[in-house]
Amino acid sequence: MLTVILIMLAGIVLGYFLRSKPQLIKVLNKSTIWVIFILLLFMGVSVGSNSEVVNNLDTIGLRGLQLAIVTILGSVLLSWVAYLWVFKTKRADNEG
Amino acid sequence: MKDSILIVMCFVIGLILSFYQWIPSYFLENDISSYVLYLLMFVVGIGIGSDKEALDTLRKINFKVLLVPIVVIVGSLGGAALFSLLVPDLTMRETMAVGAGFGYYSLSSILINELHSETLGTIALVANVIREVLTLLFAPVLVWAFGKLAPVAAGGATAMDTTLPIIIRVSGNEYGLMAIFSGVVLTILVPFLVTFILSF
Repeated sequence: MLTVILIMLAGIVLGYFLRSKPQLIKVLNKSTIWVIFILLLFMGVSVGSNSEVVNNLDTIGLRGLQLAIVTILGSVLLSWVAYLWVFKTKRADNEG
Repeated sequence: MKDSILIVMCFVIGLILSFYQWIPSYFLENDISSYVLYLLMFVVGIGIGSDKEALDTLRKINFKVLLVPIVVIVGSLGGAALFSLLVPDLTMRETMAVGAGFGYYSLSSILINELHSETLGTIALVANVIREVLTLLFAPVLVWAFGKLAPVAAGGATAMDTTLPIIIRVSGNEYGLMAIFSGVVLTILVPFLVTFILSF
């Protein structure tokens, strides 16, 4: 797991030094989406050959939907508190 | 949005190909995907390091603005952690790893797939795609019910790109800037947080 982080940090450092080469950066940034396409294709392949996943797609879909809802709810409720305490008071002219 | 559809399509194509066993066994026996993941992390890193604007955005920090990504992190991970108490089939570590995707589904699902399991990787893909879709659909309702910061919080990492237009529309330009800041911070944090949570 550490490998993933170290490789990314190496990329950040290299990216910082590559700032003087905007052409190269442009090409690299465009290539990111293709690497993501390939990886998601691979991911689909590994998931499709995993019978445990294929047989439980309904449960997996349900858990995905539930987790989307609870993470949004957690963020939104906390942002409501922050909005009322910090953001809204600074601009009381909005709603009074 | 176009990219989101293409990404999900790639996953579905892969799923169908291997489900009907149209994939040469070489690909299944040799785990080349972890090397492609390393390549992705390297390119993502270069993207972050070379992005002058992203780093400049990070410099304009004040307490109010810094609060936004903190709200998203605590809210998402808290919601995910509480949810794990309600279901028998997922541990707190697993739900929190999915929550730490903050809507950045491509990277979070790939990482979780490699570092943990295909089941959790697929849950992460579904959960984080739906997070983006729900934010797009319900942004106006969220503002009405929970104030102008709500769609920024719901959007998570996507607030800097895919959900930014709707956020600016429903909350205004002022919140658009916060959305970009929060989205940039969260996008950078996703790989670190997901890896960190799964290391327990």
